[in-house]
Amino acid sequence: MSRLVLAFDTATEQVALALGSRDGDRVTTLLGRDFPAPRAALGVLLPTVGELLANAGMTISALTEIVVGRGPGSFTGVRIGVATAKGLAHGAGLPLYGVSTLDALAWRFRDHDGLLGVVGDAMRGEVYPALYRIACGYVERLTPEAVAPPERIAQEWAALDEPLLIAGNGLVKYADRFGEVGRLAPPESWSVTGEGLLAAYAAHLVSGHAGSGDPGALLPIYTRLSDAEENERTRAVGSDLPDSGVAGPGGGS
Amino acid sequence: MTLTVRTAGEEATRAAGYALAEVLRAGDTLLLFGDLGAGKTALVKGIARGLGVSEPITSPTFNILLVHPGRIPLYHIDLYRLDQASQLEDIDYFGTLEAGGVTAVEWGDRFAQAAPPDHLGVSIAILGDTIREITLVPVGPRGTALAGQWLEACRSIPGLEIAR
Amino acid sequence: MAAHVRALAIEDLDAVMSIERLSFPAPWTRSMFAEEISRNDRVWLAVEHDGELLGYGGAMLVGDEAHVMNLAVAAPARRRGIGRALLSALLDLLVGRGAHRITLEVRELNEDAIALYESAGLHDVGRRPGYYRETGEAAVIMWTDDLESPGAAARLEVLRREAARALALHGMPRGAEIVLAIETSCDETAAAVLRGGSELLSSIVASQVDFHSRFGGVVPEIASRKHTEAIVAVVDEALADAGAVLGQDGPLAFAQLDAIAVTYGPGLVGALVVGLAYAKGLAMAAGLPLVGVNHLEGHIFANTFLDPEVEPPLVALLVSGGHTSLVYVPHWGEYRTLGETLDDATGEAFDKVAKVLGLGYPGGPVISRLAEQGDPAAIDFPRAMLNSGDYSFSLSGLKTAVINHIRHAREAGREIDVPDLAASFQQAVIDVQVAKALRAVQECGVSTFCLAGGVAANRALRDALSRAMEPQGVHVSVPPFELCTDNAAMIALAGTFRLRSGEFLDLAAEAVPNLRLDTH
Repeated sequence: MSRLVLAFDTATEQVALALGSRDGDRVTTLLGRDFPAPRAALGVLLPTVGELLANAGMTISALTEIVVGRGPGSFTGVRIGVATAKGLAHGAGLPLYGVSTLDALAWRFRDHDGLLGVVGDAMRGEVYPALYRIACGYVERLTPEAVAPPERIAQEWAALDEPLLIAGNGLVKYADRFGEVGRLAPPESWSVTGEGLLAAYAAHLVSGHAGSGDPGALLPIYTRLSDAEENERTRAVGSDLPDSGVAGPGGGS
Repeated sequence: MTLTVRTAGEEATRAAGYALAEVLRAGDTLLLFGDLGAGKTALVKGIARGLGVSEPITSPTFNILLVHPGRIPLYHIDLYRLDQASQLEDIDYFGTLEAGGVTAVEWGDRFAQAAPPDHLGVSIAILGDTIREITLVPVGPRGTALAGQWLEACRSIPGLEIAR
Repeated sequence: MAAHVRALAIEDLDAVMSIERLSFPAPWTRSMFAEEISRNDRVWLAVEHDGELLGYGGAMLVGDEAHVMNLAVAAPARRRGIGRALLSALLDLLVGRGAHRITLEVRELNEDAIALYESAGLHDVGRRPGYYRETGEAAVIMWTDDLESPGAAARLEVLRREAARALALHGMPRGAEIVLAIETSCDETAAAVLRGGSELLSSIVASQVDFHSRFGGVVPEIASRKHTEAIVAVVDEALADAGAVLGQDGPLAFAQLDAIAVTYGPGLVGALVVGLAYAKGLAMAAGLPLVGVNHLEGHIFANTFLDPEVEPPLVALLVSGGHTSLVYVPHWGEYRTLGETLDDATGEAFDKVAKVLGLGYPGGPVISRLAEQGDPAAIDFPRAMLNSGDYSFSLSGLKTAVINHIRHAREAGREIDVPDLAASFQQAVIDVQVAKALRAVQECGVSTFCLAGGVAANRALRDALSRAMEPQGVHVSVPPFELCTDNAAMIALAGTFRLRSGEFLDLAAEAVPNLRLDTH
């Protein structure tokens, strides 16, 4: 029997929303809605969810699971998405699964062949970098969650031996620098889509990384550094940053 | 480069803030430091009036972030109650700095690594019961330009003593 | 679960027929309904509550013209907005499917129905005399093609809100409403369950929850302001405790709740959004009405919890770490701020003086404990704004005076008598607050006074207020200690009031970090 998935992400200035149908670990997008809502997600998210369900002729009771983008992205944006998802899942008694916002973006490019670099805007003059290898419609993540100055990432990626396609909302600020390092995807494709979220979710199902489904256990991805790591950050200018930990289960490569 | 302004009384501190408001633009960040009672909030009161904010400017110590609509939005932050840098994310500190307003951060020197690369540091020292010495500590090109413009604006205000 | 609108189904037809036969002299037949429901060019909706059908309505859509064919509400459920809810939902669906014109016929004697359709923007365009053969009544033809103008949109929005209110309030067990409240306005993540506006079934804050066992291994640090991490567990605990108090086998279920209340301001926006986003999702998924609460109103309501004598008109002094204001409450829901602090809040002043003295945190309780052993007249600190002639407060000057005093003493190598200093500082605060509160009570002519907020726990302030006011016949109320600091129980109290007033938040609601108490 088909299962009905509601997926959304508000970690960036783009709200991404989709309703999908799942058979085993194959997910098909039924309806999607992606639109900009800079610092305004809280007011538009649920009314749009309501519209999407109405357009599909369904109500919340028809859903079997909820998927939410866990970030990394804007802290307030991630929180709005995750908290809304927790409320919906808790209230409807549904399992809640999480997907990295960067992964959801990467899955938009599943028809690409080769390396993809995603840079998310981390503010503070930093980016959230992630590298993927894409082949035969499958997106494989190569690097863990991290946060770093764009210059460092640009240098690392310049040293890769292969052509690199680059996307992500970090390009809004750093397109020039990353344009020297790889081919930039068109700007319309730098943001997360609901369809990409569902595709990333399907991949997580296959790899067994979707999480337990417990809405209380789902945590945002903040790539926040501990105090000790903050001190390291200032002292270790020029050397490799330690990998920052992902907060919580259910996400990542 | 440090620049100093001496104020005699809270009114003068506010007047200095008012002068600064004239030259502020969206995206500017001011990091205010100084002991309890130095006049950080008094300075922000002056800035707010200069930005056309009509509501009272109260201390953000407990609320952490207060937002005031003005010519440009004024984000008034107080890091007094934060004791770990990781807590900055809880209050969306970095998001606020990039939200298109003027951000005034009391106890802004608390987490040195969190300071934006281009800002104006404002240190207020207590020299006596009512005398304060405001030292401008610009970091970056915009910070430097702002410091220069502010100092110029302060020259024409009575009660403010400029020194280099 | 609240009453709600859904698609009409074959299984509903028995109930439909009962209502239909009692509503119309020439009722449709069952097979007519069965055929209608199955057609693609038809929209048929039902309003249901707890498995009971309250009403139904249907329309046909031909091209861009919609014709409402039937709309009926069960007799016991009439005059409570159910028809409104059906019409609103029908119109939204029809417009969503491309309708630009709506038409219908209604009996000329059915004034209620005609009024309903007029409120939706339809107007009388003609008559068909004798259309209803059984009674000889004429049919009034009603019509509109104005569905998209700003005026039409506004009208439909009003209809939508009234529909939501009617559905939310239907079947609400007045006097026994069970409300789950969520509070995340600053440091604390809190949830509480309250029944009938007075019986507290549970009240939980994050620091009480064992997150280790919950997260089984991968434990984030649940310190203050970790609302996203804590919210589900805090709500679960509140429901579990409530279930236990009710003697149930398990936790209280969402289906047993009548409403969700949530703080939507004032406060730290990054914190407020978590509670509000969660509460909205919960309300939508569980089909519950959502009520928004002003955190400050919650503090005032905290006084009603154990004290049945607290009734407006009253004056409240709201004193906490982040707020200091004097408020006149002529009736619940109407607030007039008489005056507030121009700079520091009272709780903050206590904390900062404690800090300068090198005492612990939180400073308020430490200062007031030390003050008990000190002489309040030892140092004459300024009573700022005592004679300002208004109700404003200013504590920053007092704070500076204390700091200057300490600095002079240290510079002169004099030892500071800390209890005396604490007592003198505290007295300076109290003198001004009591004087202004007393004047407010007299000028507003009330006989009830409430102390609210975290500083309400300060014994010396409570005693001073009682001493000043009780001889004047004024009842002085202080909230129970656990409800002075931020908690969700007070939000549930204020939330039940808002629920009974029929004021709801919709799913588009935003957090309002600068939310004021004043209504006008």
